[in-house]
Amino acid sequence: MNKKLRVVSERSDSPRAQDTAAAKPNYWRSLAELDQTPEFRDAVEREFAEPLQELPPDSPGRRRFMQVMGASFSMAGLAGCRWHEDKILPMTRRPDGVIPGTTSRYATAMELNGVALGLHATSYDGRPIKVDGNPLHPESLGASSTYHQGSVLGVYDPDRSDAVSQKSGTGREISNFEAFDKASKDQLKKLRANRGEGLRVVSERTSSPTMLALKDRWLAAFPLSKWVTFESLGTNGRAAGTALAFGKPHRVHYSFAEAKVILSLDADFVAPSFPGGLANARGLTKGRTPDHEEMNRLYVIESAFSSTGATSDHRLALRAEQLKAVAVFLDNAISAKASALPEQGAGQPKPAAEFLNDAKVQKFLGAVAKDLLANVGKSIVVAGLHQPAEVHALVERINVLLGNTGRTVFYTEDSADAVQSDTAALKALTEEMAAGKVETLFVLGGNPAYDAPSDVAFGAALEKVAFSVRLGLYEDETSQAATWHVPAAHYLESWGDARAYDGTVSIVQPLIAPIFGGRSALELTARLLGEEPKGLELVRAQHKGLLGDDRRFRKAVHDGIIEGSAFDRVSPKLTPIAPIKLSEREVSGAVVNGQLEVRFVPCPKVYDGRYANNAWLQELPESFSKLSWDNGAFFSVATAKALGFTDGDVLTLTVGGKTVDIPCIVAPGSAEGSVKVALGYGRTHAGRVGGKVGTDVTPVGGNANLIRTSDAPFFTGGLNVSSNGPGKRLANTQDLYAMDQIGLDGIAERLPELVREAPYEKFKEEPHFAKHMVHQPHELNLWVDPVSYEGHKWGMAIDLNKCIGCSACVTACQAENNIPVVGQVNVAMGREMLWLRVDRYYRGDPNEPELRFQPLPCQQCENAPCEQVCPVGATMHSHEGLNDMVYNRCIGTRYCSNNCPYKVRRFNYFNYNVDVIGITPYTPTEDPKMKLKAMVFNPEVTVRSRGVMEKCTFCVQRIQNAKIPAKNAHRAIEDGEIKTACQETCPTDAIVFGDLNDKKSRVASLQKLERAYQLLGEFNNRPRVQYLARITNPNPELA
Amino acid sequence: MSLFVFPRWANKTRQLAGLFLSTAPIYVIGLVWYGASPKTTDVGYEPHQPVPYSHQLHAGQMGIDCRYCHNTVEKAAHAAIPPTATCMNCHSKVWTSSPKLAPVRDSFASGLPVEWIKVHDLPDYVYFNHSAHVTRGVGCVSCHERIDQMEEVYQAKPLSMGWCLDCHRHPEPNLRPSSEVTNMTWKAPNGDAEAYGAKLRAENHINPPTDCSTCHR
Repeated sequence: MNKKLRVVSERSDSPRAQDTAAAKPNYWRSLAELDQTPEFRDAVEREFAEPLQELPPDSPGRRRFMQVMGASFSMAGLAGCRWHEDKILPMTRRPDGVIPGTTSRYATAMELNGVALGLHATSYDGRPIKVDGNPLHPESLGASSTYHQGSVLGVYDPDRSDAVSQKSGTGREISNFEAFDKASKDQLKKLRANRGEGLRVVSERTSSPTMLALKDRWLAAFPLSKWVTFESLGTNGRAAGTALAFGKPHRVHYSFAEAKVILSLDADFVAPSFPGGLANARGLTKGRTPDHEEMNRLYVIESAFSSTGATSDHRLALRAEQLKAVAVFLDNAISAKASALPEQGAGQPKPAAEFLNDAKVQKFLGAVAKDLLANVGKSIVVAGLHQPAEVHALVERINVLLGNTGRTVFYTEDSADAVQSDTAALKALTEEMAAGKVETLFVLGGNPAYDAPSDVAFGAALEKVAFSVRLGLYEDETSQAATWHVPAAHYLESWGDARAYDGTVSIVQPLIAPIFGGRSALELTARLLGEEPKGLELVRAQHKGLLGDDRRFRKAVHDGIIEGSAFDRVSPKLTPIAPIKLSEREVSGAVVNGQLEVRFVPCPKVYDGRYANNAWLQELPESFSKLSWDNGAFFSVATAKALGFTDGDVLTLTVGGKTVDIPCIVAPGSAEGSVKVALGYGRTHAGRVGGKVGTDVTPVGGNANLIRTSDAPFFTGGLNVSSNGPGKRLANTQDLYAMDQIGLDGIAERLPELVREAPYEKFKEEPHFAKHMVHQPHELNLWVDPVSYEGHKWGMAIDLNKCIGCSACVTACQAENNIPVVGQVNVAMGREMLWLRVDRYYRGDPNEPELRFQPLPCQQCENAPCEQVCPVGATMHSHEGLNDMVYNRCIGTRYCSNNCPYKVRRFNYFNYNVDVIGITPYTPTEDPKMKLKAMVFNPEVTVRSRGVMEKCTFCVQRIQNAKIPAKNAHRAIEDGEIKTACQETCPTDAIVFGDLNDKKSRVASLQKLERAYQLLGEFNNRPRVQYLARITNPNPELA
Repeated sequence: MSLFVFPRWANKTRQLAGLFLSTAPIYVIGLVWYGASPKTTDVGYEPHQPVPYSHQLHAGQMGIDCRYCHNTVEKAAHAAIPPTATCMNCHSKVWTSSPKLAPVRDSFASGLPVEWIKVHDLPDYVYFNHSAHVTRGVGCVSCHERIDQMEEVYQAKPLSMGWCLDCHRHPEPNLRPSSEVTNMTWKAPNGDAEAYGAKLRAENHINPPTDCSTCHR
C-alpha cells in the first residue's frame, strides 16, 4: 500500500507552509491542526485542555456549571440508615393491559413551523421518557431529529411556567385561571359587541385542521379582528415562487430515491427544518447504495456547509444572493435544449453576472446543466426555502422542463395565505400596536418579542396594548410585556391534530396530563370562543366526517395517521415568468467588509430559540463546527484571513447600525464573503440553561435577530464585521485529544485509513479497495478467547455513504442512556459525556474542502484493549461479545480509556446528575421541581455517579428487554427486533444493528459487503462495528 | 522503699497479647465477612406493612395462587403488587367492616394507593426479571422461601450477587416444571432434585448467563 500522501493543498499563507507542504494531510480534523497555529501547538504542549484542578468556587464557569439545570446541594442523603425504606404504591384500579414497570408506545405528532412529524412516544408508568419516529408516517418513516429527541426533556423542564401571571406595575404577580377566565370573558363580551374592533391574534404557523377551523370561527365571530401568523423561520419564497411559475402557490414534494441527478441551490433538503427533510434524507441515501445499483449524483451550490453539501459529489460555494443569477443561467441552458411546451415561453435573458464568467463556476454549471439534460425525468432541482420567489419560480420551471413532474417532483396546492411574508405581517401588526390601534391581543405560542427582526419592536409595542394575553410554555421575553401570561401545555400533554407537509393528518395524543395545568392553543381558543374546551372533543368533532365512528377514530389515534388524508397531487401548468432583474450585488463576485453577506439559519439544535432551555440540545456539538453551548459567525477561510480573524475572536457584526457580538468560527467550505449565523441564541428569558437576565445565568450565544430586518429576514448584504480580540474558550469538541508532533504525524498518516472512500468507478473496478487499504496481518492472540460466541453475536454496520451528520443519533443516545449534561466549561475541558460522537473530517484544500462524517460508538472489540487493563474487572466480555461496563465495580482508574484506541469511553469527573442536573432517581428530595426532572430518566439504565467510567453498551437494555420476552415465548429473536437508539432515530438508515451469527440478518449481510472495513482493525482488536466505505460518484467532466 | 515488681503471672500477658493481636485480624475479618454480608444484614428484614395482610392466611390456608394477585409475574420484570381493586374483589363481600382493612377501603374510595413497604429490595443497578425465571421453572419458593407460612413477609434469602450466581452457575436444584412454580410444597418426583433438575435443564435449554450485562445495565 502506498503510504505517501497526496498533496492537495499548498497554501503559502500558513505559517509552516514552506517546510511542511509535503506533509500536509489529505484529511484533517481542524484548521488549527492543519495550520499548526501557535495556540494549537500550545494546547498540545499542555497535554490537558485545562490544568487539572477544580474550578474556584466563585468563577463564572463554576457558577454556570452549578446552575445548568438548577443545581441544588440541599439534598442530604439518607445513606447512613441501615434500611432505606422503599415504598411500592400500586394503582388502586389498574386499567386493562397495563403492566407496571414496562414501557408502552403511543403514536403522537409534533409540529414545527407548520409541519408535523408523526412520532411514537414511549411511556413508562405514565410518563413519556423517549420519542421516536412513527414508521407509518410518510415523512418520518421511523426517523426523527434532534428537535424531536430533545423535546421529551422539555416536558420536565422545571423552568416551564407553572401559573397564570399578570402584569402588576413593572413586575409580574402570580394569578390563577379563574381570574384570567373572568377577565378574558369580560373583555371578549365587549369585543363581541363591537365585532372585534381592535382585536388581534398572533399565532405560530399551524397546519392543525382543528385550529384552522377555530380560526375561521373566530374570524366569523369577530369580523373586524385580524389573525396574524408569525413564525420567525417561516418562509414564503417557495409559495410565492410556485405562484409565479404556476399562477397559484404550490407545495413541492420529491421522490429522491427515483432521481439520478440532483441539484440543490442552497437547499439543505435533508435537514429536519426542511419540510419533509427526514423522508428526503431517506430517499437521497437510498439512491446512494453502490453495492447493487447505480448511484445518484448530487450537486450542491451553497453558501455554507450543510448536511446536503457534505453528502454531495460536487459542491460549489457561492453566496446565497448569487443563486438567483445561477438559477437564471441554468434556466437559460436548460430551456434552450429541453423540449419546451409552447406556452412555457423562452428562457430568461442571459444574466450579466461577473462571477458566472469565472472559469470554475462556468465549468461547474455547464456540467450540471449537461448532466440534468441527460437525465430528463430522473432529476431534481431544489432551491433553499430562504431563497426569493424568483429562484423558486425558475427552479420549478426547470423541473417541469426536465420532465420531472409526476416522476421525481410532485406538486400539491398550497393555501393562498402561504405567499404572505410572516415578518411583513408582524411588522404591520406591530405598527398598529405602536399606534395604539390594538386594544386586545392574544399571542398563541411563538415568542415574537425575541425572534422578530430588529426593526419590528414587538415587545415595546406589546406594552401599549391594554389587554394582552400570552400563551406560552415559558414566561419568556414576550410574556414579560403581556398583561396576562397563561401557561401552555406541551405537545406531549395535549390533544390536537396536525398535517405533514404532504397533508397527511396525524392526531396529537397526550402522554401525560398537563404537569403545570397548562392549556393548549386549541383549548384556549375554543374556551375564548365559548366552545367546548376539551382538546379531545374538539379534535373528534373536527374529524367527524372522516372518522365518524369510534373505531375509526381510535384506529387513527393508534396508527398516528389518518389514511388518505394527504393532499391530492396536481400537475400545474407553467405560466411565463417575467424577465428577472438582478441587482448589482447579485451579479457581483467578491464583496468587501461592510458589504459582506450575512445569512440567518435555523439552529440545528435550538431551532429559532424555542429549545434554548434544553440542556441536551445546547450541549450537542453542532455538526460542522462541533461547537456546543454557543453559536458562531461562520467565515470562509479566505474571508477570515483577509479580515484577520481567527477561531474564537469575538466579533461585532453590524448591519444597518444594529450590532451583535458573536464569536468567529472559521468554517472551511463557506462561500467567500458570506457569513452564516444561527438564530435562536442570546435568549434573555429562557431559563436556567439558555440564559436569564437578572440572574447570573448569562444568555448562551448571541442573538442574531438583533441584526435581522423584516424585508430580508434570511440573508442580506451590508454586513460589517470588526474584531474585539480573542474571547472566552469555546466549548468545541473537535480539537480535543490534540497530540504532539509524533501523534500528529500518526494522525495524518492514519486519517485516510479511518474514513475510507473511493470514486464509484474505482469501486466498480476494485470493490475490495477498503479492505486492502491497510495491511491486516493474521495476528495471533496473546491468550485464548474468553468466549466462543455461540448464541448471539451482536454487531453493527455504519454506512459512511449514508451518514449526513445530523447528530439525531447523539441526542437519541443521550435520551435513552441517561447521559448527563456537563455544561459548557466541562465540555471545553474535554469532559463531555456523550457516548456516541460524530467525527467530522475535512478533506483537501481548505478553500474548497470536502467533508466526511463518521459516527463513533464503542466498537465492542472482541479482543478489547480496555478489558485487558482494568484492574478490578469492571469491564468484562460477555458471551454475546459486548464489552460490559459494570459501574458498581469501577474504581475510576481510567486505564481503560487510556488504552482505548477509539477514545469512546467517558469518565464521570463529577456526580453530574446531582451537581448539574440536581437529582438522580434515587436522591431523596421533597422539592417537586427536582422530582420532576428525575422523571425523564430511563428506568432501564443505571444512573452513574462520580468516579466511574461509562460508554456505549449497544443499548444492552434493549437487547435484554427483547431477549427475555422472546425466550419466555420460546421463540427466536427476529432480525430487526432489537434496534439501538441511534439506529432507530437515524433518518438515513445508516446504522444497522443485529446478530452476526444470524446469517440472514441485515447486519451480517452488510458486514459481508466488499466495502465493509474495520476501523483500526490492524491492532487486532476485532471490532464488532464495521464501516461501509464511502463511495462518491463524481462527474468525469469535473474530476 | 520497695521496688514494684510485676507479679509472676503478669508475664503471661505478653503471650496473651500476642495471641490476641495475632487472632484479632482474623476475628475482625471474620466479623466483617459474616456481619456485613447480606446473609446477616438483609436476611430477616421484616418491615411492618400498613395493612396486616397475612400471606399465611391467603396463600397458605386458603390456597390462593400467587398469580391471583401478582399477575404480571409471568409477563414482566416486576411481580406487581396488586392494585387495591384486587383486594376489593373479595373484601367488598367478606370482612367488609374489619378495621384492619380500613386502609384498603380508604384507598379504594379515595383513589390514593396503599403505601406498601418493599421487602425484597435489590440495588438500583440490578435488573432482575421475574418473568425470565418463572417461565423457566424457578419456583417462587426458591427466592422467597415459604411465603405461605409467613404471617408478615420477610426476606429469607440474602439476594446477594454471590447467591444469585450460585444458582446461575448451578441451577439444577432450583428447577421444576413451569406449571409448578407457585407450588410451595413441590418436591422432585423421585426425591432427587438434582437429577430431575438436570433433566429439565436439558429439555428446556436452560443456560443461565453469567455475563455482567445479564443483570447490570
